Amino acid sequence: MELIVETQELVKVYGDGAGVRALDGVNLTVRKGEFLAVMGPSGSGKSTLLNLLGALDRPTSGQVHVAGERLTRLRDLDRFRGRTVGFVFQMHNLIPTLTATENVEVPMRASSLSWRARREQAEARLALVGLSQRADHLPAQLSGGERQRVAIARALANDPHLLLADEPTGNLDSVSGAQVMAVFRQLNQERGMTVLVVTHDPAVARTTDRIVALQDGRIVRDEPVESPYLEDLREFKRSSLGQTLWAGVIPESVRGLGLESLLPELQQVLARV
Amino acid sequence: MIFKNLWRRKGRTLLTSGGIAIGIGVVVALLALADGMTAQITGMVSGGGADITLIQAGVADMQFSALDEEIGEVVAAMPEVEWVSGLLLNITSVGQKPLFLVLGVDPQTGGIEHFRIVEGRSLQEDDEVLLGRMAADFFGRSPGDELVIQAQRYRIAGLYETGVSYQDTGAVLSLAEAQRLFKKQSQVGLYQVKVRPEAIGQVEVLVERIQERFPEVAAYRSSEFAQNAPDIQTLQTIASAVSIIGLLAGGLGTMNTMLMSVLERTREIGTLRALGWRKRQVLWLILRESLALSLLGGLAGLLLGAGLVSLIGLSPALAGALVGRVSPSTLAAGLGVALVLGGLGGLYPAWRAARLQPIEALRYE
Repeated sequence: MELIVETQELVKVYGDGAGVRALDGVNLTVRKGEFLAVMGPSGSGKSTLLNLLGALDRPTSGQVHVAGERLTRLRDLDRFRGRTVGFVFQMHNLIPTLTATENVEVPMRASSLSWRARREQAEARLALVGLSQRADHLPAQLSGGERQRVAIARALANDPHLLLADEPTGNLDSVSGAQVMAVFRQLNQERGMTVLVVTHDPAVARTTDRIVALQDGRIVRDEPVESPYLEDLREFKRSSLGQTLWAGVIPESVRGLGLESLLPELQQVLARV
Repeated sequence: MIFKNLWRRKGRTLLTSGGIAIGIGVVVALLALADGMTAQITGMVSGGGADITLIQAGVADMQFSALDEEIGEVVAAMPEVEWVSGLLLNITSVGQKPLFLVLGVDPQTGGIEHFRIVEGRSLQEDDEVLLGRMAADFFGRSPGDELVIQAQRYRIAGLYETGVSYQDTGAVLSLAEAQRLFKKQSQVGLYQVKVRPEAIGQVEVLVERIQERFPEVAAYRSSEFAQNAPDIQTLQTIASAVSIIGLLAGGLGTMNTMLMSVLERTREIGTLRALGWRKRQVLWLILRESLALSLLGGLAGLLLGAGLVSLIGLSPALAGALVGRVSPSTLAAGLGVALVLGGLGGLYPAWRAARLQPIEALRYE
């Protein structure tokens, strides 16, 4: 399978001297057709990683290859941004004076398509995200979730190899957020689109197929998502209580609740996840 | 996209284009006035079929020109010359008209033919005056009535029409009387020279010869006189100065508006770049907005300028004296200036917008 993304010892340092090491040697590979989440708390470097993959920023050291292009060597970054990757921002960043269709057309302005072809392509993209009926609405007339879906349609405008989404559900309620993630899932399953979503929310990350966890600029975990429930169990194992019980100790505050009799079986279960 | 952006901040767009409109309006009005005056003066000095016009060299205004009568006699004696007519000009206040042109013309020479009599008869006595048709309508006078010029009473002998509003809103006295009234004995303001038909090819040579003979005289072909007339030169200088100041203000206003617009849209511009737009495209977007803004102002300015000129034409006191002519080239010039304004004013903001780094711009609050 071909690799869509390959990074080698990727480092990004902000500021001079004792600067902030946002990325501290990241080695990430993503295969074509994957649907993954890059998760971590704020300051973990996840947004920095995304910006480097989208050629919005340059690494301090290390290599980034996206769709076969070595980004540090790439001269025409604008073309890369417009064609190779599609970016979805946390704030939809739609242009308020343009309709949904016109917003989707914006990345197409760089190409040599005719007016008609552009219009058709934009309408097709909107259909993909299920917003054909909203084609002539202005952003102000759309809900938060709808705006984000327009942003996804826009990211798809020039048929990119890869979709990069930076906290796409960050400003949405859970229902709209779920809808947006469902759109990503659909694009991935039905059209084989490679989707990389950055998020701090484990619930969102769990709707993807693979979670890459970042902490302090390093990958601390890289696992496929099997089931949400399994993930919940693993979460529990990682929690303070889980770790304590795993070590065979019942803390003072939870004594007398009946955990004492469960402890041996609990330890066996935790050993299996 | 461009127009929608301008419509986003209607108030600001209107204010800025309003400023440009005023600037362009003034430019158009001044150009029109200069144009009109040029046509008037040309009509005046070519009247009666004159080929060459003589004026005192170095004067600021035609009224101040003073040529000795001896010059006229010498020139009249030249073989190529058919006739010479002396003209005395004076602008004075008569009745309700603050700008009333009184011309002194020798009734014995060809120059008087220019004043075509439409009522009454031509001048016969020194205490008579010929009144222009438009002036007669304004004052409500007819041949036989009286006209008072600088406390002197004159009987109106006849009414004339020349087609030149300057003159048709004025009056004609005999040269001798004008000299006496305005205390310019033995002087004329301008000399009109008619060249004999057979010597018509010699006009340039003649102009040079007169120039050499009388260095205190500035001689021109009558058709070219207007552009060189001191009055026009002065008006053009003033017009240029006023225009430059006005346009500078308009240009700075445009630049300011565009800079504000770019600043407010920093995140938007960052988004455009993150979506693959090139610097060049961003630059063009801003520049085109600036041009659209100035075009809007320019069109309004054309209407304003033309309106201004019409307004002056409506004023009975000024009509005829201040005549504007709005020609297609004047309008084109006004529009062209507006576009240059937009282009220059938008250049720096466009450059600033193009230079924005996507990541920094996206972070902008």
